[in-house]
Amino acid sequence: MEDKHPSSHKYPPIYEKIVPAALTIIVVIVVVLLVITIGVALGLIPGAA
Amino acid sequence: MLNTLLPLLSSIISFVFAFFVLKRYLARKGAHLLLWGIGTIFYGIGGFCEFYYGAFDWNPFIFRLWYLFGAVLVAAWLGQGTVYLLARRKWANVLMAILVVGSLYAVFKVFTAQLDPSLMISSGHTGRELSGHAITSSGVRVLTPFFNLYGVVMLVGGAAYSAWIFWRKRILLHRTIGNILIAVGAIMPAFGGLFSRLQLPGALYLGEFLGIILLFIGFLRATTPMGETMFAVESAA
Repeated sequence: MEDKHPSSHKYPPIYEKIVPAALTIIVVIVVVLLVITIGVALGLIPGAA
Repeated sequence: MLNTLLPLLSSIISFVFAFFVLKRYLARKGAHLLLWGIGTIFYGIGGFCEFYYGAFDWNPFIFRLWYLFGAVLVAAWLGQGTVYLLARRKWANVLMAILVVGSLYAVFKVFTAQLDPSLMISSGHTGRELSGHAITSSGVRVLTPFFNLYGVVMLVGGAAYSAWIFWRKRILLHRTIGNILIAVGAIMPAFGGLFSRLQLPGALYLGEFLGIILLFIGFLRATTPMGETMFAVESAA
């Protein structure tokens, strides 16, 4: 099942576009959430849960 | 209606999800499956408590259960499952020990905290959703960012990292898609919480509902190779 020659394989074209875009958006969101969470923990941003 | 139906559905879906995860754990073992199963049970307990509050009004014990499982522990325990999947066993065990000690401390703090439900109706909260503002004792609500920070980094970061690894190698497309769905699903409750503070009614519970759906679909997708039927594979496992 696992591909031992990854350079010869590609995902279907739609996933070649969607996957990197989705991962980029996720990383940006995680960074924003981390900043907010750290801000709440340090008392810089009001209100935890 | 939103404040009872949505959390009830979230709770039911969570427990169904937990059943599938723990069934897979019994078949294949793996600490990550056990911890994800426990984490989804926590998710279900949190949702049930939210439903209870919407249906039957304030109950201090239910509130403490909600805060402990739904607000403090769920993200961290789900994230710890991902740690066992991706990290070396030695470090995973060290982090697990820290999480257990921290969780026991959280149990103590939450169940000895003084509560005032009237404080849930305050700036940024309507009182129709459970809120940590009801806790008046110090040193309780400050726990939440640390547990959630750990959970977000490990669960969302771990899923995104896994998806990236599979994508880089252009292998196991089903796991790439599944991990992206898991990462997005894990983020949804945080968005719900943010929009809730903007006084959008039902935002928190909607975020939790959408989150557990995406987590569940993501898990099924990640464990089912492309071209196979998700539930058929699960029932055969």
